[in-house]
Amino acid sequence: MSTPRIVITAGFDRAPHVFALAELFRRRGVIVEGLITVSPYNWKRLRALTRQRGREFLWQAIPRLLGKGTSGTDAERPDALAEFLERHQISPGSLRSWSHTHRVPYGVVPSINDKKSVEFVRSINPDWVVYGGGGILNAHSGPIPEIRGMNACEWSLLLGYAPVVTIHLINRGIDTGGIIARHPVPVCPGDTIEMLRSRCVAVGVEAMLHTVLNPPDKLPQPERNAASHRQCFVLAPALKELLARRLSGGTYAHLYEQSSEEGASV
Amino acid sequence: MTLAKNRQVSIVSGRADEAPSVALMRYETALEATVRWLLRSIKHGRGGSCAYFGIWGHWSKPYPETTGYIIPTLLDYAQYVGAEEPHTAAFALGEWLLGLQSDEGYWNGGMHPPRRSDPSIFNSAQILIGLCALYRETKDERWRDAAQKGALWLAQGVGEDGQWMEGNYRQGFNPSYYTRVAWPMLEVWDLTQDSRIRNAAERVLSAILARRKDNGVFRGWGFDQEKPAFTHTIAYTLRGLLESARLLGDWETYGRPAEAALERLFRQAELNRGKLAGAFFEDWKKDTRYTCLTGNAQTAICLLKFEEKVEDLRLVNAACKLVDVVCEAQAIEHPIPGFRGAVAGSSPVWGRYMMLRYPNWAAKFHADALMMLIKRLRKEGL
Repeated sequence: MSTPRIVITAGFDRAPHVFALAELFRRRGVIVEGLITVSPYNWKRLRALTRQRGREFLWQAIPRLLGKGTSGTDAERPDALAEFLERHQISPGSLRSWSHTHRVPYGVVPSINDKKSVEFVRSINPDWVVYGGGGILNAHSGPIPEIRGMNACEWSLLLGYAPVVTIHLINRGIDTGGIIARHPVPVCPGDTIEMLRSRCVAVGVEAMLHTVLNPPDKLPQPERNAASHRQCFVLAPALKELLARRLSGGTYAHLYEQSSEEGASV
Repeated sequence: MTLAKNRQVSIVSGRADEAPSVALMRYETALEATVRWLLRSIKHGRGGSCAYFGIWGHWSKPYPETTGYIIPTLLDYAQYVGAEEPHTAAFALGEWLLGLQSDEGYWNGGMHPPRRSDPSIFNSAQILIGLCALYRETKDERWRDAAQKGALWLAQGVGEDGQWMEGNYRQGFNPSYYTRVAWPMLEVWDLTQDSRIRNAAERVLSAILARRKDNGVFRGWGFDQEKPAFTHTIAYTLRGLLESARLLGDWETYGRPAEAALERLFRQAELNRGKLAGAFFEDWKKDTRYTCLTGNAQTAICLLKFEEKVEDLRLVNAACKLVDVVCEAQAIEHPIPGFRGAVAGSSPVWGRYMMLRYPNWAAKFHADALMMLIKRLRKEGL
């Protein structure tokens, strides 16, 4: 197998999981041919985010944009992504700087669907485009087709599915592309929503690496029932509170053991 | 003083050892404020419930139509909190409505007193909802007999084509939200087993089902055929179908045709964080200049009713967002009692639906949606 050549997309310049992806790909000999970051400072994107998640989301996003992180860590239990980064000795920073250091072409686009992105990818013609907040190969934090859309990790639990990360191809639908692999996400006693989300991201990074380094022989086609399930959206405060209570009340205790058994295979 | 005099523990907590849910406390607070506002509208209603409180600071005349369907809201709330006041008020409203019924069985349209005799199909039907609720509560035949008389007046006016010639809001136009006339007729049939009423209601429903477009819209589901329909009348249409499906035990014929529109509204609610466009054209093009708050609450109810059938928390999530938007637009603390707990027709208040007014039906549907939502979330363990 020849060395895979990839382009990575990122939702913003300081996305820690994309930084980890880029760095781990580089360390394992994958050729990162380009990095595309979506500019957070464009009117269309701000408007869409405000409509989807409310004005407060924009305020909450500022620390993330500055690379400070907000994933609900506490002193007792660092989150899974932080642990993952530490384990791999990665100090996430700016993707622009990383690209500069490693001489990787770097582009900023107003939207991942913008013409500039397409031209950028086309000019490189990589084996994979890895979607780290934008494109073709995606790590989705839930089982599809059952859980499509936003807050997939949370919805998995609320709707009675064991949390998994699904690596799939992106097509025109919402999480309806062909499925490459499913990777279980462990559920642990004392988990909060933020911890679970963070663990999903960490599993997603590992799973992406695994997929690019061990690509399937044939690209999967979308399943017939790919869009048959109702799409998931951001949790309303009441449902978020319900999930938090269930997590703290041990409702998902039956997943603890199951998760630890399956988690070993990731 | 709280309306919930008899409760021993906080209603929201469910268990005394558990911290109350923040979301449920918020919903409970909104619910109590809304019902208090409804009781205020009755206090000023000269027997009924005032149609609205105007932004210029006065209560309107009472509105028999909405007074009718406020009755089950008050009964539900009375049972929910174990309070007397809403219960007593519901029966007083019923007595007032009995006094307004014509010898033929109908009620007049518009506010009371009417300027002229104006038999109204839609308004009469909404009053039946209240009378049926009172009968179920007491088994006092006065309520059932009055409801049957009203329903028979409606049934006798329906042609073979499922249409009424007289008594329409717009002369000669039978809107699709008359599913919400068929529903109360079926409620009466359920209590009386009078097949004349059921047959007429089924003809009405058939005529409306024939108007369904491929995109899930029911042609003519607004007040005017040429204008976009407020979410208020869209939800009327869908609720009428859902309740008819329940009463007739036939989801395939009456419930299934409503699903496409419900799914559409679900997506719209989610994509706009609960802020539905105030009105939709028949190609689903939106009028986004305002939100019709009562339509928001009614749509939440429809999604929750749909969810009773399909059991999917995603629908509950959308209902939460729709209700949250109404809660955000509501002033729980306000020095002027007419504004305190009131729900405006539109958000912003100068939007096209019930411009600059706080209608009693917006409060009614908000209270209904809140009670359904609280019950549903508690069932999930919140």
